[in-house]
Amino acid sequence: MTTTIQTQGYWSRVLLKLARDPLSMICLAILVLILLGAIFAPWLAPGDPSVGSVLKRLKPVGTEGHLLGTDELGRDMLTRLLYGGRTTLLMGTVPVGLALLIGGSLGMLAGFSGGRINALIMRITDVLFAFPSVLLAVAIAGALGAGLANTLLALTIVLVPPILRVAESATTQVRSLDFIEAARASGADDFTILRVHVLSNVIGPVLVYATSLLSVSIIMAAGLSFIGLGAKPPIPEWGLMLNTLRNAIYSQPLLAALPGMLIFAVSLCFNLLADGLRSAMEVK
Amino acid sequence: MNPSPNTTNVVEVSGLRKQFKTRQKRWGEKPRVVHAVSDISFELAAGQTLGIVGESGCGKSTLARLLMGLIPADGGTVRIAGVELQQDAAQLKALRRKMQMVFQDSYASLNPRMSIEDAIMFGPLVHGTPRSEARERAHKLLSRVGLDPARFASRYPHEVSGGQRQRVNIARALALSPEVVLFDESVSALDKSVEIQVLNLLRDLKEEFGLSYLFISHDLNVVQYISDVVLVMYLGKIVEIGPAQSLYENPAHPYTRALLASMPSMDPAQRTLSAPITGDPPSPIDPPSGCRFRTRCPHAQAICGEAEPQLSSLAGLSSGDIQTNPHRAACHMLVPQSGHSESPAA
Repeated sequence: MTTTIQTQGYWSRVLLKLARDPLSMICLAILVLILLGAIFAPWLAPGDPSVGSVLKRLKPVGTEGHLLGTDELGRDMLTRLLYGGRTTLLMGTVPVGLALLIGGSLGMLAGFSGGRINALIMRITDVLFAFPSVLLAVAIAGALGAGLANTLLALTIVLVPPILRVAESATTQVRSLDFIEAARASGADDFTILRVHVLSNVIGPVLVYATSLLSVSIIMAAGLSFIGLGAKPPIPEWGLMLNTLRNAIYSQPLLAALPGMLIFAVSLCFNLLADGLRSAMEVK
Repeated sequence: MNPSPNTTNVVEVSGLRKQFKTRQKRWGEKPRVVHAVSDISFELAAGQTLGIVGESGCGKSTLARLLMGLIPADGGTVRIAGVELQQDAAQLKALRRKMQMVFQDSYASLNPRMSIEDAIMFGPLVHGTPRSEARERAHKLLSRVGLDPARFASRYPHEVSGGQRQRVNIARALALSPEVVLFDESVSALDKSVEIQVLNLLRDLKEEFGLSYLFISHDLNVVQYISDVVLVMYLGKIVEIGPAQSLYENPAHPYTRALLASMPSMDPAQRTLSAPITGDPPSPIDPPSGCRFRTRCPHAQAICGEAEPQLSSLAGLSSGDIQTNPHRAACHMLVPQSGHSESPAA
């Protein structure tokens, strides 16, 4: 045989399969659109997010000059939704990313060491698990006080335990397999084995799980802002906007629902994308 | 008893012991002790193959892990190429270049997320070989074990057959240029036709790279085919050891005889209908007193429960390399003064 048969790596095959899934691709497109809108808000937005006009309060969707209407202080809704996406997406993704790093490495450490280290890490995790996650987030954010950094911290603390558990169980599954012993027999130290052999097998399930947590994080972030523990006015944030617009729910229902619809769309897309990723990873 | 470090012996094992404690089930319950490997001693001469046979659960795999330093021993010593194996990270790492292992499960012993090439390169990379050199070596070894590097190097373990995977594992073991390779039931899971191909490959590789083999198997035919010296284990102890030809032709221990009698034969006249020994081996948690085989031995007498038989040379039977592994067996019947009334004559 003269031609070289090239087989692709696992991850390129997973991505290829994901790319063939229409639902996942639609979700990805929507998310990319919203993300681009958030990133390029200063250039895309027609107005200033914090400048309103008392004369133009609560204009309906479709008003001339204000495509999506204005809020209770007469600020342009389209502008605020674009800017709000920055805060909301930041609060959705950063805690998940941090929790992935912290929970992932602690979970791998616990699963790989076993014994007392495992017991110590997992029992502490159980303590955090004992609280309902939303309640825990509210309690931590409440104790730390409102503000963006504190919200990120609170959400990270809430998201670490579930990721840690998934990483720990995935690590426990591979830990006793022969290829780990074979690696040890070739003279590799524990850190190398963790970095090369364990990580390559654990990263998949943990990543899928973390993707599904993105929507949880966004909804919790919006929830914290809604009850006044997250972003503070006048920072535009979807959950906070939902709160300040709630008085207009009878006069301008569509307007009042706009931030909620975006939260719904983003979290649904993240969830469907996580599902798509999960089934794409079922290739061997 | 233990000879001084001998350069012609690549592996010297003396008085090796390993016990496991069972998990405590209730508070206050004493953990019980599993005697997995008890007082094992043998030598492997350079260029030879030592076959280790025994039933499942006799401690073969524990012995393999002890020899590889994957688990610490409770007693005894293992010398590889004259250097004593100790639980010292740097020294272990250096010794691991000298002795490598091929596992039974060809699939579980390869990382499913790592290409074949990367799997073979891993060991050399750990020991500081430059990447390009490691890759070149991996490709050379792949073609040496009969796998075209152009076709197989970038494949993943699930994309190749069981026999091909085991060839990959062999190439991986050879990547560190070891002196000794330990095979733990490495061909047991293969089809018979593939098995013989792999066995012949192992023979060729041994010549070519000047290797010595430790070959663990429950398949007596395979062990006979490949081994120079054979060691028979029962419940963690050596019951008989000797040059392959001598041991297969003149088995001295009742257990060895039973094993050999249970060997499938191509000759219809050799076929037996009744099983030579019945039942499972006793639990290694509380091994029988005296001779551990006595509970299943047709020749068992009172003395067998009282005193533990020692390995003793068989007069007039030893042949081959007398210095390293003369034919010895642990049975009271072989020692005239032992108090056993029967003689070993079959």
